[in-house]
Amino acid sequence: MPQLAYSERGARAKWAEKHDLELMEGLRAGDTLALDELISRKTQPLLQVVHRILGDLEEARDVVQVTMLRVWQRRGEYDSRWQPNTWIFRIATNIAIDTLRSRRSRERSAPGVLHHLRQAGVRQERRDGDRLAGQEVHQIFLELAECLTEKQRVVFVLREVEGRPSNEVAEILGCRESTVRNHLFNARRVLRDRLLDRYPEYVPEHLRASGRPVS
Amino acid sequence: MDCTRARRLLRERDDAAAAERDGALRHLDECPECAALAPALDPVLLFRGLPTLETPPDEAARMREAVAVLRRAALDPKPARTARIALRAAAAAVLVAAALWLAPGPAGNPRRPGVQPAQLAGALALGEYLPSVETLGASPAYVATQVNESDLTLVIVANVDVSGR
Repeated sequence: MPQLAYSERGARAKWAEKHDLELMEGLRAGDTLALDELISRKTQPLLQVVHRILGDLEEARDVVQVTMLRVWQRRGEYDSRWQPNTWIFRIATNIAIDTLRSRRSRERSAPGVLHHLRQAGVRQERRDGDRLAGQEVHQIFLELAECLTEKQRVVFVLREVEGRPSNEVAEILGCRESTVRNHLFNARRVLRDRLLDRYPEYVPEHLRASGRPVS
Repeated sequence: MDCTRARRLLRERDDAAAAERDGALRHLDECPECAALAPALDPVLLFRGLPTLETPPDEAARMREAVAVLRRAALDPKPARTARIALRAAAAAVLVAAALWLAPGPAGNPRRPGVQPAQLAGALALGEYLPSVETLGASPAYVATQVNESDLTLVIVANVDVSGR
């Protein structure tokens, strides 16, 4: 019906002009067009973070879908004093952490094969001369990040790669800033040692000589 | 923050105060020269250059559709398999019972008495029966079913026109 389509377009346009906080109010009132607008705004940044954490785009898409479903289902729990972004990213990172845990649990049941496949994948990436350097760096990060705990990995991505402030990362993870700093310190130490051990060509010569032993 | 100080802090990040570390990292966003040099100061800074994810232009539209499907599925769960089987079995039992009940009796054997409308109305009002609409041949029938723990009693009024309901 043209009239209905016109009025829905108008409602969508109305939400497109609103601030995130107003969208959350619309969501709490049960407006699905507010949810659609929120999905339009948050899909790309959520996918980017979750993809950096998990390293698999299809898995990242699944996590973002479930995140937005939870946002809808828990809209009544949202407190307008919270930053919408922080609340949504908290839901997404929790689901990403659960995904990492279940993936590791699966890998524990077949460690040899999966490790071999991952190593082969990295070697293949490194052989393809036309691959962008950034993608190669991402593959190396994903390989080395296997040595991190789930929390260390998420903190490293949010803080060091995404450049989010410590207080925001603490709010997203629901912990203290000092805990975030500890996770970050340990993550950096582990990644530095593993990089020196497995990919010394990425470590400057003066640091290779003075590099700490791999822990 | 000037380049010399930022580079010194980045080289000794683990020992620097949190605020100074943050300042040095912010400097990297503003100074391309220091950003290019960063992995030489601390190899872990290599990972600051992870590529931006490129997604198709319709990514958000596909996400909206996928979430709408999930939302509808969560709102409208299908009955459990056992419940569906029980419902189908009950419907089949209703049809068989209706056929038996409405069939004319043998000569000399009067047809079994039907349920009085007042009885049916009373039972429905007491909430003892589960009303539903079934189809008997071409005609819809108003069917009230009572399920007890021990047995199943069926009360059927056939050939009732419910199209106007």
